[in-house]
Amino acid sequence: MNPHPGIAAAFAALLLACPCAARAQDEASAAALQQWVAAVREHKPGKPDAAASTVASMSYAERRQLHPAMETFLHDLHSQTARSRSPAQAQILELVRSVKENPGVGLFLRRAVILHTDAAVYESRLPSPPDDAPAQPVYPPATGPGSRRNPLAPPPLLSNERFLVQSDARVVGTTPATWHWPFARYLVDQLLAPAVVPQDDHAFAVDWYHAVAAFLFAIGNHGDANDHLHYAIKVLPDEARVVFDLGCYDEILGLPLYQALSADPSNRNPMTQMAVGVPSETEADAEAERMFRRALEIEPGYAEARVRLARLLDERGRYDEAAEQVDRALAGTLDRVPSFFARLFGGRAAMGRGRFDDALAHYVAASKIYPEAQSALLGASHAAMMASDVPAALSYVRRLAVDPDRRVDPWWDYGRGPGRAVDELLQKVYALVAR
Amino acid sequence: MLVALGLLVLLVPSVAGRQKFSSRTLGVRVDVLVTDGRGPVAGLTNRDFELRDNGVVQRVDVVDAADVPVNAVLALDTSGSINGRRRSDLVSAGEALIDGLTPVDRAGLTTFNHAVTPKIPLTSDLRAVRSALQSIEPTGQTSIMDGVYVALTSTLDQSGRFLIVVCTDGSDTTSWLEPSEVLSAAKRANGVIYAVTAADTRRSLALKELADTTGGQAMQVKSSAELRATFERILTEFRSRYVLAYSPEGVPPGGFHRVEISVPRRRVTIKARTGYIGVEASKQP
Repeated sequence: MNPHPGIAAAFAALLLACPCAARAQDEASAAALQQWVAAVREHKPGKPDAAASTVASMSYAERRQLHPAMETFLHDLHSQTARSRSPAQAQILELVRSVKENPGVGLFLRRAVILHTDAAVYESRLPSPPDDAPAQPVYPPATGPGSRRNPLAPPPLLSNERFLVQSDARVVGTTPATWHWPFARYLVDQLLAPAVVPQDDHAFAVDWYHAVAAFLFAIGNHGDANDHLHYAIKVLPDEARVVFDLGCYDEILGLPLYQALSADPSNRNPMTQMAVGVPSETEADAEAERMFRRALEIEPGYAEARVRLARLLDERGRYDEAAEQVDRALAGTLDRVPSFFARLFGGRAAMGRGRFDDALAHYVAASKIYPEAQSALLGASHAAMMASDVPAALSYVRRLAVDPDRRVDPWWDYGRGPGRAVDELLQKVYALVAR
Repeated sequence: MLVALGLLVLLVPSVAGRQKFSSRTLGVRVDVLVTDGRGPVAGLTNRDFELRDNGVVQRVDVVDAADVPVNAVLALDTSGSINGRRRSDLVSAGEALIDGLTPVDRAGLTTFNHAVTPKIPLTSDLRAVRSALQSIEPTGQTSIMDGVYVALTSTLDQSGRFLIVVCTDGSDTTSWLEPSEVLSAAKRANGVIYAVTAADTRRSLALKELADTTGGQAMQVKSSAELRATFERILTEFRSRYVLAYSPEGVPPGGFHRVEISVPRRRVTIKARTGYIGVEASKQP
């Protein structure tokens, strides 16, 4: 049974009133910090090793114990070391000194970020923590310039959110959110805290935010992706990849998967007993368009941002603009998947303009990139049907007779956004903390 | 000469001798359900019907529907949510519909989760359809519109009457085709869509529009246990429909033809396709 927060607070106050108990608590906290620092030092990036197990299995009570020492430790990493007053504080200061000496604050923090990243990434292969945290009220996200976190929200180390779980557009329950992501973001904040941030640390932060977004998209964890990306945009507002990722997130909310979720009144949030809150397709698409346009301002050659922008324009019947964006994207260099999407959206834009032959040409080009893709084949079939070419319309449908398990259609994974390159992106981040 | 796509051949060879056709070439055929407060109305003749094609009254023949074989196309959702009891009830419902077919009827099966699989093309080998039904393994997401489109295309190069039964318990999450695109295909095809959903109306608006446009019906079931009886009722209702056939006269070919059917002097409700896309001779396949 979880203690009531008020009772826990009163108990903590009583403990602090007793000097010996407070001292014992400080020492336990410092000992927990020492264990955490050791885990950071020992962890091998990209491995679900013993160090990752140590942090993955931490209970809420253990996190509470670690919290005071952690706050002191992180504060002292970037400040002049004060004279120690107690054995516990001396122990923390010694940890700070050793980290500054080897491997240095920046690299240590990066490794710490990776430790918690791996604890989350390899969650299913690591021991689970007990679900001993008190229920956390739903905090609205921080708004306004400079306010990254809601002041009412608990410290990142003690975060205890729950997310809805949906399957095939039905709410099927809730799940505790991992605390590793908010805490890792907090550690990245420490990395970016100095007045002059070293270039390596800045590059790490950008790559890390992008890789984690990719991971969350890849596993369909849009609850964490929401928190992650709205935080990222405040930390790194002018990074094209961060802006692009947030655009992908907004776009996902406008896709049928989420729109169907909110359109069904039987889907309710079990925590609030209220309807599932998803922005309307119009709102989500408008926000996504804004993000993709912003990403293109920052980086005009960001081809996938242009392709996704084209889809949003298609969706709202702005076919001429969509076709123009597709043409511009195709004029550049595109990887296989964005190239497929460009053709697909080019096909739809041409259909919207009543140019069935152009549409067919786009869909056929798409089906050359992924020969068994259902989206391209059905698009081609429909374009042929509209052009009154029934034999051709049927011929494309017959190609669906391929075993569905062997069929590959990037459209089915459109909502994964950058998630399709997650392995590559994570490896890139791991390389930045290589020993 | 105007024809609707796929309607070039109206006669079914095996029963052609028993059909009540005039000697005229009949290009368009419309399945019509006539009901009153007590259910389907039987015994109507061509003199009872008035059919307007784009506002112009046409001379229609009533084909004895009982003599025209049924082509039943099942388009079934096999996404991850169709598990356990839902799966067995769905299979049982499909079997019930197959069992209701006669030896001259044909059946086909298209399944869809995120992937659409035209499993069994229209065949008189009903055992093959039964067997395929039993092999359904629910998994994945849901592409309803893509699935309906593929089922519709199975009517394009075939003759006869087409009953398309779409059954889904969920929302469309992965289709490429938009409802408007499938609707445009439905106006070119010749199937009557019955949409059976386990969800609320808001979820199945697109299916309801497809059913209305093709002269079929959108039906909701409270639980999968009702599926079997619902499928049986659909087949019974489909068999009670009239088939009106006519060669459009006095209307230009091409474009959308609005079809309005009435039974003057009778207080009845009529369900029939709202129109069709005519194709000019130069564009015929």
